[in-house]
Amino acid sequence: MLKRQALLRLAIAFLRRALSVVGLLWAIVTLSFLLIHLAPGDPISSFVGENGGASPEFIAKMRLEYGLDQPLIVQYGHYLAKLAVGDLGYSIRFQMPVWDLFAERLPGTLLLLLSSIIVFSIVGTLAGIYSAVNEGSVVDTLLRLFVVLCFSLPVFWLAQLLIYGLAVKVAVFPVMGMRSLFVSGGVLGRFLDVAWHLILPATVLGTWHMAVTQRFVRTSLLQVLQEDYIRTARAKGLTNRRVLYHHALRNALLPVITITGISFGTMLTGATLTEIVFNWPGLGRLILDAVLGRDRPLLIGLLLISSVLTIVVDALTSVVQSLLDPRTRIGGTAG
Amino acid sequence: MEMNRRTLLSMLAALPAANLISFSSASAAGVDGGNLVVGLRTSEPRHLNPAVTTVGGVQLIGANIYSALTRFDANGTPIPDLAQSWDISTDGLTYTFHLAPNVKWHDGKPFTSADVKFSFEEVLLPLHPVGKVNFSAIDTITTPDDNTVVFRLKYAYAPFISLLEVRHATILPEHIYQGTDIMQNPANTQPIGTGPFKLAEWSKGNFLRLSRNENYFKPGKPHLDELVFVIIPDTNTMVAAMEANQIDFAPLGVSFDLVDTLKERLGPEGWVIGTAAYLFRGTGSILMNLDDPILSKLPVRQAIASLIRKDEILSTVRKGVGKIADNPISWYIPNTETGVSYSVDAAKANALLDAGGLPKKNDGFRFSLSIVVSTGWAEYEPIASLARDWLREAGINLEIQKMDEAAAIDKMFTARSFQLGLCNPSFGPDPAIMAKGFTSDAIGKGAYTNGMGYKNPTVDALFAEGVRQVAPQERHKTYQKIVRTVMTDLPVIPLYEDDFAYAYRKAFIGLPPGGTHRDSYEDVAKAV
Repeated sequence: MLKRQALLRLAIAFLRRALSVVGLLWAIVTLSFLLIHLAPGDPISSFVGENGGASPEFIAKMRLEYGLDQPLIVQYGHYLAKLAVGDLGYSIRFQMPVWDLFAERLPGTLLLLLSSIIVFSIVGTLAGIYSAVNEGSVVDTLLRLFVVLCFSLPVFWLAQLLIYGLAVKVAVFPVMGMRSLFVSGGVLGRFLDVAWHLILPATVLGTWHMAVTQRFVRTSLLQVLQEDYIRTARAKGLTNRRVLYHHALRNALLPVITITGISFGTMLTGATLTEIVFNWPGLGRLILDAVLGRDRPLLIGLLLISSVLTIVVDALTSVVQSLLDPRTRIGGTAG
Repeated sequence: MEMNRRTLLSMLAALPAANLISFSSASAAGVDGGNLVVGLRTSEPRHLNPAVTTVGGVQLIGANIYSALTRFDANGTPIPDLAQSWDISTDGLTYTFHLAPNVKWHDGKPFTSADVKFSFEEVLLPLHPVGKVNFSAIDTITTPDDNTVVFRLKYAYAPFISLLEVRHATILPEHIYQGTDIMQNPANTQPIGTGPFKLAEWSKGNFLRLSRNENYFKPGKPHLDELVFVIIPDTNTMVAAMEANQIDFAPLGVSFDLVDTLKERLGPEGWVIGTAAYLFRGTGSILMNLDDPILSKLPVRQAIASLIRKDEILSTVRKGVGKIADNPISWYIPNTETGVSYSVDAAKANALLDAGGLPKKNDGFRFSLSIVVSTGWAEYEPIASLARDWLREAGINLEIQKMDEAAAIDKMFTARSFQLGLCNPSFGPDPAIMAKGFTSDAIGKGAYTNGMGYKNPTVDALFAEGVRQVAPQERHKTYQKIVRTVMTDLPVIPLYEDDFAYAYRKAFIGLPPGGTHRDSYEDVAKAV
């Protein structure tokens, strides 16, 4: 009986969550629709203007083809109807279905984001642990200063600096792109080539997150190390190492999951700038192109995708957190 | 790759560089072989078929894969491409093209006159954005044999011969496109052309690699083994790529404000930084909305024209890139033939406005005007700032309205809800194209049409006449009359001819290619 109640509670909680997500996505779609329409200029005139002009007949034909001659509410209705069956529409600016555009570009962005987040979470965590364990030392102070610097560096500027220093002045890394023009060595060669291209952009993107992680881990670990149970463990005669790895870290590292989830949103924005500067083939520049081109289907599609990604990451974070931390387990006493 | 190229570059730089900035054949001073990497500052093309689009990236790349009846030399004169010669009847109604023999498509099939007829009738006329505008003069196209195409026009149409190159009249393979949905045909992304290069690899988002067409119909060409196009939308990245020698040529989008910096940084590294007149002739201009109550008064417009210091715009803002333009087609009707000029004279401006019943008020200003400034062009904001200072000398308060390109185009050309606006219309390669900006039936018809609302029946008639005249001297006289009338009515203040900058490594000759710089790279070769 209890089990069934618990399951029911879980189901309701899930349903409520799902509904609020759908509601949020609907609001995003509607707002974007309206906002884009408020800006002067429409996708056809933007497309045409950019390409040196077209005859009025051609413009009229395009308008008809894309349904832009109909009243806004009708266009909105059509868009929602298509969205309901998973059709994201057709990008006027790029002349291809929005889904296909994503399929082409999303992997590049995900590769950049995920490699950056994973690597720099680890780096930041290790740096944070070191700092906490050696609190007050010279290295700790230097690390803290370095971290403040990393917080403050604008992505764009850092990217230019690294490109100029490590790709132009001294040709250690490639200036841009994801692949070299001429690659040998088969599959492994191509894999290494992409990895080599990934290093600079991932570093630029991950710097801020690394700084955040370092600070949190340091603070969190310092706090945990003051706790009673740590003192008890020490009193029991456990070595420092065992205290640290077996007891302190497991609790101190919980915030890392949360902040990684939160960082994701910021990094998605950072990815746009990074991709533009490094000419990295991802979704990044598309948002800029979509706004400048008044490309409604593309813009709404992009906003939807970022929202969905963020929501998914957020949900994953909650799940992982609840698995690791009994205090926040779903259905648990802390609720 | 970077290290090898650096070493090679320093070796080449030590040799006397045979840099020929104008269009030239490479055979005298170049060697066969090698690759050229081109950095394009455009968005990535969705397909490679220039017959159905006017997107710059598609034209640039497509010009190497496809051919057309003619191409341009550096002066904008049509020269043979697929058509090795042609005859024009004296009445200007019949054009007979004699096609080059033994031309093969990239798939080995023979090219014939049927391909030309098909391309015009079933692709260009119905599907190209300006196809109907360009070719509505065509009455019939006949193909008496495989190597001859005859165009019969309904009326003499002088621009016709200038519209037959690959940008406006790409020739597509009938055997690939006949009977299919042309816009969805896979050949749009896996093109089969007759051009000097074939598409070898397209790594989406990264680069496009073209390899030489071994069976190209012009003997000895192309010289390069491979042509690679890298799309680089960001200027800073483009410059970094140039400095790291990861690209060899940047044909577009080296903006004029970078010219001096690049000359300083890249000049010593073996780069040539040049400027040239763009064949399709943009003219930076101030548009004035004649439906506005203040601007509808001619003395107001004349006063404004007497305050703008074009030489300062050219030297300070444009860094000397370009030339002063005193009329919208100054490359065809020289400034000296404009007939009317507006020299800088603040006193005269003030007098005009006083006489026009627009006195200065207590705050020193007579009235306010707004100017639309698109952020898509680096020079517009500085020009508007200068204009604001200059207009103040006659008591005009200028308010700058910044917006992105799409909004600016809409305000100036569609909604026409503006007073003054900065824009850069192109009226080339043929002066007849100026009609789209100045005839009364072109008002409010979209980008780069008659945003000023200019209506002059005399001018309308002159344009209709000019497009039909074939004899060059007659045409010149007609357009001279048009220019004089327009510049007297003054709906627009032309400022400068929009020359553009490009950069290439001295290791190559034959750059930039052709008159439009969107020509094929068949003449490009590595220098000896």
